[in-house]
Amino acid sequence: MKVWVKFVCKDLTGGLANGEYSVPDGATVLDVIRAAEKSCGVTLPPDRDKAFQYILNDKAAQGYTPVPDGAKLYVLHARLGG
Amino acid sequence: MNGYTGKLLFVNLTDKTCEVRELTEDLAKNFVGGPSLGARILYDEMPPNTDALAPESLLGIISGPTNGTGPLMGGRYTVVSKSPVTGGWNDANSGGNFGPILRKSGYDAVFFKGVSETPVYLFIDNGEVSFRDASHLWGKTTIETEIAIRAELDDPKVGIALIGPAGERLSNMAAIMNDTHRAAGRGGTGAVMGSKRLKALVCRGDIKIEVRDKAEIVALNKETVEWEKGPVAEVVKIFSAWGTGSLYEDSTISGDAGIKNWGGSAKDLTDEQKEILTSASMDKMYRKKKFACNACPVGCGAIYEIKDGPWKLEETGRPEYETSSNFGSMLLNGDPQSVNYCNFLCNEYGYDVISFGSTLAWAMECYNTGLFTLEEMGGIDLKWGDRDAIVAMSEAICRASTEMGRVLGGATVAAARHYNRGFEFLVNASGIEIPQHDARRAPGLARTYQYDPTPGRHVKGGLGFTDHGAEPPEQKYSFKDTGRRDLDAVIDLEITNCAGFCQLSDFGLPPGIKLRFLNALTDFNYSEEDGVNLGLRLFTMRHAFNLREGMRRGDFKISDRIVGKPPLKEGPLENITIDNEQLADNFYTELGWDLETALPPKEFLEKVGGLDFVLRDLYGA
Repeated sequence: MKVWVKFVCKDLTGGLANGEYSVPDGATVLDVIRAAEKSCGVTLPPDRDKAFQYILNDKAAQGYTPVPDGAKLYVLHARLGG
Repeated sequence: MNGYTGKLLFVNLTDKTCEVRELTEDLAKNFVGGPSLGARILYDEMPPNTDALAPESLLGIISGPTNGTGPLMGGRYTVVSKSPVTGGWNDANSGGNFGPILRKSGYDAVFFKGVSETPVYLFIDNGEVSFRDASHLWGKTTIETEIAIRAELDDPKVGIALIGPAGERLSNMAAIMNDTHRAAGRGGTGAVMGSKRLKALVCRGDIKIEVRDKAEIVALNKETVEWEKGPVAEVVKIFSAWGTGSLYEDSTISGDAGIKNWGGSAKDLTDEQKEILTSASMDKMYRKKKFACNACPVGCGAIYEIKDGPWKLEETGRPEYETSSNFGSMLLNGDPQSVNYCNFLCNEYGYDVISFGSTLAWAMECYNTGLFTLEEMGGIDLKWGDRDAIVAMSEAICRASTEMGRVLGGATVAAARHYNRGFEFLVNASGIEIPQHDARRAPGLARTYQYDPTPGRHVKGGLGFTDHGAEPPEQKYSFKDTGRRDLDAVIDLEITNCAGFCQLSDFGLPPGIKLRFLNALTDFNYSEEDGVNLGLRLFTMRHAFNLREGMRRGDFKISDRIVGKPPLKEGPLENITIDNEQLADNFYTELGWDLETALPPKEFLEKVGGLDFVLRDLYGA
């Protein structure tokens, strides 16, 4: 299935490109990030996920949240403020 | 006394007299500086239930011991008064360079009472005080006034805290400005200053403030620099490069930012509208140079130049997150030029951008639901997202050029009362508009907004900014067992604010270092336990001012909309309602305070210490 992703926190995602990624059925939000890493040839530092928050189809999601086909995923800074 | 000038200046503007009083060691040790030192002074000096704008009302401009003494991120001063907006305690702080300059002019704080017969400014020059005529400055914008005063004194570097036309008109959203685009903005500080016909406090000096251990301060600064290169390097990098506006897009997507007067959701904005107002996007178009407050290694500010379009600006401060959100997502506006121009207008005329943008949003919702006619709007067709209408109404407010502009200048509650309409669209805490962090996303903010002694602030302590709202829903919406973490966050932020540190020190300073800085500056040798009692005392002091005014728990209100009553029907915050009373119960239970009244018991006051006068007033002991 396909998931469209926007990496809003570009400073933390080291060249992961916005766009559509293919993941297997039953994939989670974190699986989508891993698919993006593989596709873009980027390896994020360990624990980088902790610096993210996710909005999946307009709802707050966690790394373990299953992703439906055709979903829209935003990867945001976990820390907000100002 | 190390860490302080040891002097407080009391100014009576009615008879133009001044009195210098000692800042005693007890006062400094127990209340540190900033808001709580201010609350302690006003508790004694201002009769209970004085109107905020009456001659007997006091306005304090107060430094913290970190101002001008070397600690990194220690450049913020505080303005205190009773609030004409909430009717209770008010404090607001600001960065830039003014705080350190105030101290070097010879005083830790200046308190004003009375009313000058004609407009004046007060000039402190290395301890010497003089009253200067400001009749020729009354009516001028903040920028015009800064230029005129610097020319008059033939000194481009004097520190100036001043009001614009907003303060002169006693607007509920009038700010006190410094360094052109920094503001102690909230709660009507500028109105209190304007009520005294005080245009500016101007300071100059090179008085040295002794500290206990200068080498230790240098060592702590080095530790801070290493910390900022280490575990928090990426956060520092974001704020250093793009400032608070760096996270605008994130906030509009996550539900953190207010959208459509808090009644909308992320779906009401396009992806392009969310991205264009992020400072990373705007920097590419407008950035001229960087700006940093005194002693700040992060340097989250920048100066913009708007070269093209209908609202060209030679120099204007980069919009903070609060500004972009209040003039952006709150109004469904995705136009960066209008946001920058409205920001500039607010700085020029001396308005608080949070209340100003929120007031526009309220007026928009009223107009777009048919509560106001086009004629009542002064012919301004204030449709959601219409940048020209947003600018036109902003100009009408700033210049008080239409009836609607004049009424909106009083902010949302006064406008609703004036027209007797739109009460259902008011979103505030005890009357003051809410900053751009949605309590439905970070529930702890609801407790802070409603029940902090200075209501409606995101820069006061509590769970909201500790947890940041990114936790799993089952955790953040459980409303259980929050009291301890809530109180710990309050204790920490009380010390931050009273010492004069910036709130970005929550990541910019290593954990636990603030008390060590205070111990290097002063002779007080606070232990960890002292630090806990200090934070509790600082919080209780502000609360005690409100108690003395007769305010109890039930007097602190919050609008239903911001706590999800009724809940939103779509978006990341869909179907969320905050149990704010439970959060407050948890907090007061942790404090050991009475749940119904929020009165601290005798035992609490005795344990915390330094609050004998509160004990006496509440319990006659």
